[in-house]
Amino acid sequence: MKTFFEEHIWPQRSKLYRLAFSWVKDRALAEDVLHNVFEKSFTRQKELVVHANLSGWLILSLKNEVLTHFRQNKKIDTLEDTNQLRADESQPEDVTESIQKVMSLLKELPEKQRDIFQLREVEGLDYSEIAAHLDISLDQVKVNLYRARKRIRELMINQKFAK
Amino acid sequence: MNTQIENLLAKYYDAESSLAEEQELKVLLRASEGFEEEKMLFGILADFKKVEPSRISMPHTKVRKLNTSWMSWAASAAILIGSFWGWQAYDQKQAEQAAYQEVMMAFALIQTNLSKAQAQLQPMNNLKYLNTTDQIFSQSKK
Repeated sequence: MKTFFEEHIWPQRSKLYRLAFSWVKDRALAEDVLHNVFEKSFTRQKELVVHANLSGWLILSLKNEVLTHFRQNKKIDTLEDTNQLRADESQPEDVTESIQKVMSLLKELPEKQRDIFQLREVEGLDYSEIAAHLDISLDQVKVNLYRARKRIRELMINQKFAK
Repeated sequence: MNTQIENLLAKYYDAESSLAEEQELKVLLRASEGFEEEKMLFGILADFKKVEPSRISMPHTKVRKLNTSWMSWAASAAILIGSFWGWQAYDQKQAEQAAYQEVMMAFALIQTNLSKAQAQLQPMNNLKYLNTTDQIFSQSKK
């Protein structure tokens, strides 16, 4: 018989990993923070069984884990500041050109728009699922997605993100 | 086809398209000429979706490993205590049994001696007749 973790949390690992990767822009670090979140959620399974918004809790925990890491090491306060962290650093070798372009694209978006855009375009979630994942209203999802796509269109026209 | 694509793109950029419409848009784009920016965008996003964690593993319950070295000592001690307690209980039972037998033998001896005494007292039983005679004679005197 599968545990709650195996049935409900473990299957979300790819989505959570890509979110963490887009925030920290480092594959190994993304896995480390995700591992820490999984360890915490594994020990708190009983509490999470009755949690009204498990996906939201996981994403928030992941964000907190990332922020804790960066606060300890790089002295930053928000996830948007992580864009600055990698600005002067070369991309790791295991990141393909496509991934670099996605990262460049996401870097141009504010944090909320970036999360909504990624959950929609990469993870294929519908509006209500995104609202639940980020614990925001449906209108906020639509407005931020509209702004994100508008911004991306501008970037594509200017070919800024491809550079 | 291009009109359909343009309509879907307009809905897409207005954030009014459904997931099914966005899927349809991607299929139509693959089969059409032009729209290079959108093709590139959906292409790199599809590549990003293929990114998977490579070394993360599922957490496991920490199994407490029992220290078995003390268990043999505990088992030996339990056997010794159990044997001692069993032997004591048996010994006490035997003592009680012996005491009971002795008491029963004493009772049997008393019973035998009482029977002997009763048999020896049997001649005394005849004295009642003598007494009866006296009573008869004494009554007649009155």
